[in-house]
Amino acid sequence: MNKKPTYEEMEQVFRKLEEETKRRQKAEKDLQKSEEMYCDLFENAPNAYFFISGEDGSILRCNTIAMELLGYDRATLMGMKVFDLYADTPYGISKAQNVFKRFKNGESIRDAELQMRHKNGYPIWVNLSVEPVKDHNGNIIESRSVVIDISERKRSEVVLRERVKELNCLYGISNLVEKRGISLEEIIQGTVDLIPSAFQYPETTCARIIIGDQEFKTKNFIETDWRQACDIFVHGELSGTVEVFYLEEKPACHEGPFLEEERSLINNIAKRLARVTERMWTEKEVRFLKEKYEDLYHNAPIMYLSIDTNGIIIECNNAILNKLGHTKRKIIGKHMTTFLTGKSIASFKKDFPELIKTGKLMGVERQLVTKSGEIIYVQLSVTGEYDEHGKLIKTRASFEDISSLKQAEERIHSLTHALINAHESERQMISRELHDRIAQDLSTLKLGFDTLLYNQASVSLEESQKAAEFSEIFRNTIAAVRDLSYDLRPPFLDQMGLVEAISNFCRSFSEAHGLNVHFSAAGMDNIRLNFETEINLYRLAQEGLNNISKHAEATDAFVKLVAASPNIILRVEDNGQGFDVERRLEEATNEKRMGLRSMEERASLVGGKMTVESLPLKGTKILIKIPQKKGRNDTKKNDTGH
Amino acid sequence: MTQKKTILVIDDHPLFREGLKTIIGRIARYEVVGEAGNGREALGMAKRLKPDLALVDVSLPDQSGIELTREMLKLSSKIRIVVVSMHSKVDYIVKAFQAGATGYVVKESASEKLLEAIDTVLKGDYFMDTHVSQKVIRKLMGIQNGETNITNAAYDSLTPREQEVMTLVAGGLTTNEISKRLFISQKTVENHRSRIMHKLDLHSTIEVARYAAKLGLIDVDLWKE
Repeated sequence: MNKKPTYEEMEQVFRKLEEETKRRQKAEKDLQKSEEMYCDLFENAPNAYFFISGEDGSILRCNTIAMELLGYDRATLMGMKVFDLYADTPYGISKAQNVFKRFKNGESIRDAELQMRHKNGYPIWVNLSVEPVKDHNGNIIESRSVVIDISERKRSEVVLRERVKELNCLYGISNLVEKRGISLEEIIQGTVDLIPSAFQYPETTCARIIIGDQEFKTKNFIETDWRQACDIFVHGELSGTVEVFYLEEKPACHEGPFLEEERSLINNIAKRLARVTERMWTEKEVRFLKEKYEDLYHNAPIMYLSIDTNGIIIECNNAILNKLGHTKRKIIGKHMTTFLTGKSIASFKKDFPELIKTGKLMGVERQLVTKSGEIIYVQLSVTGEYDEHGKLIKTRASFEDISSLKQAEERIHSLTHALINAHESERQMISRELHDRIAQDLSTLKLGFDTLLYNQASVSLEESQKAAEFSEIFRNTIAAVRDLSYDLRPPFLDQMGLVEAISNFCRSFSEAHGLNVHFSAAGMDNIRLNFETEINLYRLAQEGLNNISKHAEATDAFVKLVAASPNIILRVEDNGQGFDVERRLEEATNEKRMGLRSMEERASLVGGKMTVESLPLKGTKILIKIPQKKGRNDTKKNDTGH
Repeated sequence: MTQKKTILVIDDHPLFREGLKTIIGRIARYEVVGEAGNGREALGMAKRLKPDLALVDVSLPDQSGIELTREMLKLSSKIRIVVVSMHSKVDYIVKAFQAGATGYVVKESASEKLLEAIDTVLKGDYFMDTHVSQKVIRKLMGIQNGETNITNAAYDSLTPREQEVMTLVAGGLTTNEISKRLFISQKTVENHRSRIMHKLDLHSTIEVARYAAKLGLIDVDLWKE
């Protein structure tokens, strides 16, 4: 440059310089400002930033959050290798070294999860992203690492995982409980085996459940000092415990080494076990009761049988099977009438609608037919079983074998009948004896006596008078004997028939006992009864009136005989003091006061039925119904012997 | 002098026959030509001896004196029969007369009444021992009186079926129920019912019931009211 710059030129340059300086100053200022901004951004970012040397992993720079996260000051951190910041866990140092290796290979790492270590020693879960920084030659000089504290999230994850374990455990228990046919013991053993998996350290956890006097343990069970337990209350009573033990020491948590969730889990398990036990014990009791009931039902000495509303047998017990000689298969599903006699079928058909209506039938008699055809007399009582709407669904009957009772009864009947008949035939025999022998012999004697004097040469008047007197005594005696003979048998019965015989008896009874006996008969003219029926009707009227005069203190008695085809009705009634029928019959049996009983027997002797009705101070009504037996029996004409 | 009347004595008691023979033996116009202790012998003698009269006991060992009477009368309608019996009952007496006997004497009055009976019967008249006849008549009277009191002619005219229907009607059963009970049509029940009411001169079911209660067919239970 030869030429000296002009002032203008100088000034221009200067001005340019000045402008340049100004611009630079501004730029510098701007830069400074941006540096400040960057620094502020870097330092005060919400995430931790590290710049790590690509050579040896030493920390080149870091921000405030990074220091806060790890608990170190900057100076300390600057001297540390990045690996020193990681925890000594599977997610710590080793993983960090792995990340470092990848970074050295120029790889970008996104969102790796590792465990760093706080200065105080506790692990910190972090999310790590690393971006390698290269120089112009492509050599990696450093990293830019972003570290985000994810402890909170990790903790939640742990909690969640624990929760899942618990839920799995509870779910497992539920599954066990719902298994068909599983026993309480199996449920509890299953539960105890499930427990460890629900705890934080399944491998080092063992458990024990005690219920009642039974103990259930995991295979690895050892009692240690690290115990969590909960009592089990069954039906409000302390009945056992659930216990969990850690086999080794673990970091302190909510309750010793146990989590808060584990406490609630064990409580929950205890509660569930209590409920399951309650249910199982109840079921067991129900089963026991059912077995007991079934045993009672099936092996009871009384026959039980249930039929549905159509009369089909739906259940029966062993007693009835044994009695009938059938197997259960042969009885269930059959109609009730299959096992009844014809007569009982008729009664069944008559009673069944009423039974369905009232649901009750008490003390009726039926005849069952066994497999071998034997007839069994039973007395049965039936009650209905209703559904929740009050609709009858079935009836339950209990049968009592009264065959022997029936036989005894029949024996008594036949004996009584034999007695009545014997009595009657004895009377006839005596009557015949009196009539045919004694009266006959007396007649012969009288005749002999009367004719004795015929051959006497001389008979004094006195002698002949005396003989006449004797003869008269003879005659009267003979007449008396004959009347006695006739009285032993109903007089008139075979002369004039039943109506006249009873009428005559009523008349003479009236006179003899001062009782107004009113007799009426209707419809009897055209019927012929056999002698047995007639004599028994006669005797019934006779006994009825005798009872009235003995006990009734009546002023009037009524005897009504009326043909009511196919029966004959005999009524013997009075207006006396009356009595308690049931008691009288009972007393009669006990005290051998046979009045009414013998009338009953006599009625049944000719196939009839007697009913007695009595009301204190009103009187007594006896109704006898006897079936008409057609045709007059010839025994009547032979009664005094030909 | 007329010929003696021949008499046969039939009784299974020898001593009684002896007595009868003694009584008859006192009367010259009668002669006992034979005696028998049973029906068979008696019939043989009757055939052989052809007696004018036979004294027959009702109770013989081999047959009834009533039957014997009938058989002897078959042999000869001329023979007169007097039954001499222990029985004093009306129906024996009736039967004896029905069989053809014309006299009846009870044994205890034989010594007093026998000759009278033989005399009467041989005259061709009927003879009944007064002891018996009084009794029979008294009883017949009694029955006659009694009958009007104790029986009911109208009801007696009902058939057994009508009795049955009446009992049920009086018992309060409806026509339908009666028809089911007796397995007859309702129409038939109605017919029975109207016939019953006609025969008994009744005009309503209530009257039927009242009537039935009076007879004793049903019990109108006043106690329960």
